Parts: sequence; structure tokens; C-alpha cells
Amino acid sequence: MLELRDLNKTYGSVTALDGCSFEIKRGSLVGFLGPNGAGKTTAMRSVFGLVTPDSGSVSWDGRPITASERLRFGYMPEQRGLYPRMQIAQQLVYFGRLHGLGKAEASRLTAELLDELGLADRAKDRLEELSHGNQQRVQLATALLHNPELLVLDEPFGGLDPIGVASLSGLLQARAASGAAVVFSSHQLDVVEGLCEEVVVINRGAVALEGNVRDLRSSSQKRYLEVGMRGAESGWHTSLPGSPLVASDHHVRSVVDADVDLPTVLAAVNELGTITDFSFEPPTLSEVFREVVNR
Amino acid sequence: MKSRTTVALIARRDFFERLRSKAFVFSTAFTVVIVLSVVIIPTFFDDGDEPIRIAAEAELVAPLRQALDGLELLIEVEGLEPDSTELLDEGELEAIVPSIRTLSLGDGAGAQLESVLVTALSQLVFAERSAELGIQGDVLAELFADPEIVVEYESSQADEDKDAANRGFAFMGTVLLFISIITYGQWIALGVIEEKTSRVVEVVLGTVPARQLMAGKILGIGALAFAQLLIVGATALIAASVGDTLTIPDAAGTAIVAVVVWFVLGFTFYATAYAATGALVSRQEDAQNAAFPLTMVLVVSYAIATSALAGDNVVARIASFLPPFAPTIMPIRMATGDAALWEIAASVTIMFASVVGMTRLAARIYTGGILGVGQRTRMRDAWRMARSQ
Repeated sequence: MLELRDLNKTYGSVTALDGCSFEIKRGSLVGFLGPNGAGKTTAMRSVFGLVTPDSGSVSWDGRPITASERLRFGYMPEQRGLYPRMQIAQQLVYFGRLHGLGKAEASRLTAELLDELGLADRAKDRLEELSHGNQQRVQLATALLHNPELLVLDEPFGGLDPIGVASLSGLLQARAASGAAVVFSSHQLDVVEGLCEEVVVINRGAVALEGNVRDLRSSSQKRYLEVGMRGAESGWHTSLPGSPLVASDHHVRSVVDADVDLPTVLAAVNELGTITDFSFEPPTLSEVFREVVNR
Repeated sequence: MKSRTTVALIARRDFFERLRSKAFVFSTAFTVVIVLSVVIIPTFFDDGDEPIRIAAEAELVAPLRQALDGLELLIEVEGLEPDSTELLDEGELEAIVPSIRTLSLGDGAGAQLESVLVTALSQLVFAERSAELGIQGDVLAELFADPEIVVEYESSQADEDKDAANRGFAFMGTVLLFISIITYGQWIALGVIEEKTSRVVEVVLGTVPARQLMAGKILGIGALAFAQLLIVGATALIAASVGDTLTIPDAAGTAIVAVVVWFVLGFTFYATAYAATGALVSRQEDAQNAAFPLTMVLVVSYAIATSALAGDNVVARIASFLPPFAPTIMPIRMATGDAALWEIAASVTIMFASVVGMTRLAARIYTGGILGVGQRTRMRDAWRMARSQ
């Protein structure tokens, strides 16, 4: 388990981390969210000793992280970077070996992973000869190759097309399922919502919200009520609870209290005409996020 | 994983990636071509092996040839022609022997040629007189048999030759060290900057400590520098021995050991400094500016080394104890015999301690500076940043 405990870090007058604490368990896939400048990258870099916090601790399985722990971690930094003129297979083998793999094992894993990422035929190409998307794949491979126990990815979905998003999602889920602790930062909240059970939201250097995505959404005091209607008199929606966001003769979407009695509402709507559509939903992750950040 | 394994992995990558690079292949090939041309071209103008031509009166040609045979000096005797005097003036011929008792020497003829010819002619004159006096041929042969005179040079002369060879060798070492540091130090600084600009350093340092990355880089590029030096040096030696333009100085074993030890100490000292310098800047263009203070120190130490070669002086004496200067100056003071044994011991000790200290200092500045992005990291900030690591 990765544990960040009360991290503080300032750069001059800028506070990057302000008592930031959270944990990532083995086998979990956690989305790490926060607006620009919230301290996500600083927190992630602190795991790899690339930032030294002014105070607080970062530990793995209850022990402070040292160089030997980091060999079992995988990291994809926000600023992508590998050796531009090095062949990609050689590059992966090199990083695998830096992580303590033997030569034969590193070569085998490299071949497997390049195959999995659809880059097998590019193994002997130099990194700079690859497209941006493929370079990103190699960067990911560098983080994944040695089957790390902890995987930290800074904006791994940035710049990916929907197909790339889907295949990366699959990869990350598989790693978490096989027992790795996986945490990644992202601004694509719809992706996070579809992929993660858990999220950590930080704002101004401190954790503002964390937990199960479904719980976080349902703990909101708001619900969205959406009704499609045929054959109702105009103004039919005024008898519904809450304040409408969109309203017409045959459709209404409104915000209602979470504790509204749903059967009563449904019965009332049923009296007004023929229901073509009915939904009652908590806010999306994106809305929860905005609520927290704007607070 | 052992840190030694990590350092070796990093060093190997830096070595082999660069070894394959066009820049290395071209720079090595270019240097080899330069060295070859410097060593070989003079042989085209060199007439050292050509025999000295002299002309002698027809009857004297055969006896002179016989008398001059087997000498160290290669002399070709030809018959006297009407234009021989002219050839003597032009320098084609170095001497003319119109009769057994006359010898005219050209401008280029040295004292050695003169004495050789006078001796040869004297023998002929003696032979002539012996015949007149009725002395028999075999008596004559006995009389003129090789007197086998052993020539001994006074010992001071031999020592001087040896001293000159040692001085030359030490100075060669100093020049080589100077050039190597200026060239390969810059390679190290650029190698460090390359990792910063490509941002790969973030991935590498997420895995290995900065000190190990620095050590690996210095070892890898240092080994590459050494490989280039060997290639160029071997080319020069082979070419020189083939072309016979260079005599390898007859240096004593201790001089060679001294030069090698000082080379290693000096190179390590400066290599770490260049690595730290590279970590403080983010762009290749800034490398030269950042390394300027180091270059200045090197130029100064080279100048003092030259002065020490001319004769011992106070500045050289003091500087040979100061770490940045000692590697270029002490070998020369040792070769000239100006350095006392205690001075050498003290200087090596100070230098060794400084290399250790410099490695630590550079590692710290490197650690603090390597992750800095943007313009330039000030040395003080790098120092402070590293302290908090």
C-alpha cells in the first residue's frame, strides 16, 4: 500500500502541497483528480524522490521509500521523455535492467509488451522515428515492463484517441486485477468515472474528497430528475418538485433534493400523461468534482 | 540491485550509444586523418635516408667506395664530370675529390662528412706511401685493420638526453590531459544536458539515485574518450614507426607511471566538475558559457605548466600543490627533477583528497541541478536543493 502522510511543499511563495494525505491499496485502480496547479504532479513526483517534501512522509507497505523500493515501481511522468536516438526495444531492455531485471528476462518482457502494444514491428526503430501516439505507448511500456507493484501515471490519457483510451483502460485494469496498486491523474473525468472504483480529488495541495465513485456521487444532496412526456398539458412540469434546468411540452430536466420520495413523484407524473422516459440520477463525477473545487 | 551494477549499466549505455553515433565516428575519423597527415606528410619532404653524393677523380672512385663501405653515413661515390663543380654549388653533390690530396666541401657538408672523407683519403695516401716504401699487402692489411676504438660519452651527456626525454614525455602528457579535458569534459556536460532536454532524466531518476547516474555517465563517456585517445594514439605511433618521423622518447618507467596517475586524477577531477556544470543549464547552447570558468582554470594551469618546463619558479611550485593545477604542473616538475619527494607525496595526497571532495561536491550540485527546468539553476540553489534531498 502506498501512503502519503501530511505532505507539505512550498516553492517560494507558492504552496504546492498543503497537508496532503491519501493511500492507494494493492489491487486498486485510483483516479487522481484535481484542477490545474492543485499539486497532483508534485504529489506523484514525491513518491519517486523527484521532489523532497518540506514535511510529511511517503511510505510503501509501511516503510519509507528508498531506492530499492523504487525498483519495483513504475512511473510515467507528466513531461514525457526517453532517449530519442535509441532503438525502442533496446531502450525498454535498458530500463528493465535498471529496474533489476536480468538481461534475458528484460528481453523477453520487452518482446511481449511491444507485441501487446502493437509495436512489435517497430522494435528496431529509434524512438524519434515514431509518431507521437506511439512514443506515448513506448513511454507507457517503460513504466509497465518490470511488472511494478506500484504504477504511477501522470496524465496517461492525455492526447489519446478514443481507441487509445479504451486499450490503455484495459491495460490498467488488468494490472490492478493482477494485484498492482495503480494511480493515475487525469482531467478526463468521464474516462475516470467509467474506469475507477475510487478517486482522490485534491485542491490547493490538500485532499478535498476521496472514496468510492458511486458513494461520492450518491452522497450529493442533489439528484437529476429527467422526464419525457407525451400528451400532457403545457406547463405540466410546474407540478414537479425542484427547479427545472430545461423544460418543454414533452421534456423536463430538473435538480431535486436527494431525499425526495421517488414513488410519489413517479405516481404524480403518471397522472399527467404518457411517460416516454424517466430517470433519477446523482450528479456525474465531473459535477461532483466542480462542486468540490468551487467550494 | 547493487549500485555498482546500476552504474555499470548506465556507463555501458552511454558508451555504446555514443560509440555508434555519427558524431563519434566522424570526430574519430577526422582526428585520425589529421594525425596521419601530420605524421606522414613530413616523410615526403624528408631526405634523411638518401645517400650523400660525392664525386671523385675516376681512379679514386673504386678505392674510396671501398674505404667508405660499412660506415654509418651512407655515401655514394661517382666519377668526376665536367659539371660536378656546378652540382656542388647547387647542393646536389656535397663534396668533390679532384685528387687524392684535395677535398672541396659544399655548403651543406657537415663536420662528420669532413672527418670521414679526410680519414678515407688519409688511408689512401698511407697505402700509396706504403707501396712506395715496399711494404707488403698483408702487412698493410694488418696495419689498417679496424682499430676498434671504443667511444664513451661522458655520463652527464647521457643523463641529459634522458632528462630531455622525460621532460618531453611529461609535457606530452600535460598537453594530452589538457586537450582531453577540454574535449571530453564538454562531452560529459553535453551528455548531462541531453538527458535534461529530452526529459528522460525524470524517468531515470525515478529509478536510480542521481549520484549513480552521474557516476555512470562519467565512466561511460570517460571510457569512450579513452577509446578515442587509444585509437588516435595507436594510429600516430604506428604511422610514426612506419614513416620513421618520430622517435618515442626513451622515458624511464617512473615517468610513464607518473603521467598516467596524474592523467587519471586530473581527468576525474575535471570530469565531475563538467558533469555538475551540465546539470546547471538546460540548453546545449549554454554548455560552453557554463563551462567557461573551468576552461579558464585549465588555460591558466597549462600556462604555468609551460613555465615550469622552462625552469622551476615560485608560481609553479605553489600551484603544483593546488588541486586544479597540480595534474598539469606536477608531472613536469617531477620530470625536470625540481620536485622533492615530499612535495610529490604531499601533492598526490592533496589531489587524491580533492578528487574525492570534488566528486561529492559535484554529485551534490548535480543532484540539485539535474531536475531544474527552465533557464539556469544557480549553483547556490542547486546546493540548497540537494541538501533537502
